[in-house]
Amino acid sequence: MTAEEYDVLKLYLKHWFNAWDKDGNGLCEWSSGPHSGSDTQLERIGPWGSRYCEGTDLNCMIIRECQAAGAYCPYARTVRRCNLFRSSSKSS
Amino acid sequence: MCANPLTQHYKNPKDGSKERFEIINKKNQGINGNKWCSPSLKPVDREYYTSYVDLYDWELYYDTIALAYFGGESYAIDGIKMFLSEQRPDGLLVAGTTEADWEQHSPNFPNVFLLRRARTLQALFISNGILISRIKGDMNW
Repeated sequence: MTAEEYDVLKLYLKHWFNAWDKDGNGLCEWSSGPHSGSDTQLERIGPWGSRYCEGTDLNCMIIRECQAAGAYCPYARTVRRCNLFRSSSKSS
Repeated sequence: MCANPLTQHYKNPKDGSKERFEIINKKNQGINGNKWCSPSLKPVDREYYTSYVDLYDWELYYDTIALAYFGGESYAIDGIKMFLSEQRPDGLLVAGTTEADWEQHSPNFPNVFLLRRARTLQALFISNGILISRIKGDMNW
């Protein structure tokens, strides 16, 4: 993994918090049923672009993402970011 | 802890598994092509093998298992790099090759994905040269 690829991963993770937490309550939402992988669950999770389902699965995976990003950091020598991701995963 | 049987097979290919991969690869070219080329994503200079008609982020997980089995580790690594190379300036990674996926942030979870992939392939390195699979010990998978 190059430093540039690491930056892509970091930006990817931040985008969840910046763009996919519409009501700002700390929980991100699925865009739609197909977005979640449950292609036929349009009533439960919503049609394309509905963004109302703050799925437990999604937010658990985002916590795992924070943990994974935190695990990369010591090797990439970015201790400050590492702590940021770790604290994000705990507060989520 | 038991070793991943697929990883063992990758390290010690038997029964002509690499040749088998090539055969499947050629077959797939005849159906829908196995190269990354989609109207909604600009083609990049990488190749990727997928057993599906379209390419979605989640399917990389499943493709990787097959690719490791058939010795196609370079394809597997290129698969995730293709998604990473298409990131928008605001950070969004597209979720797949269809038009609607342009607006959906990929639930591929690449940070987790790369750790898991490293566990399967045992072949990824991070920038300072430490084998990434060492990291998995930090995370109690």
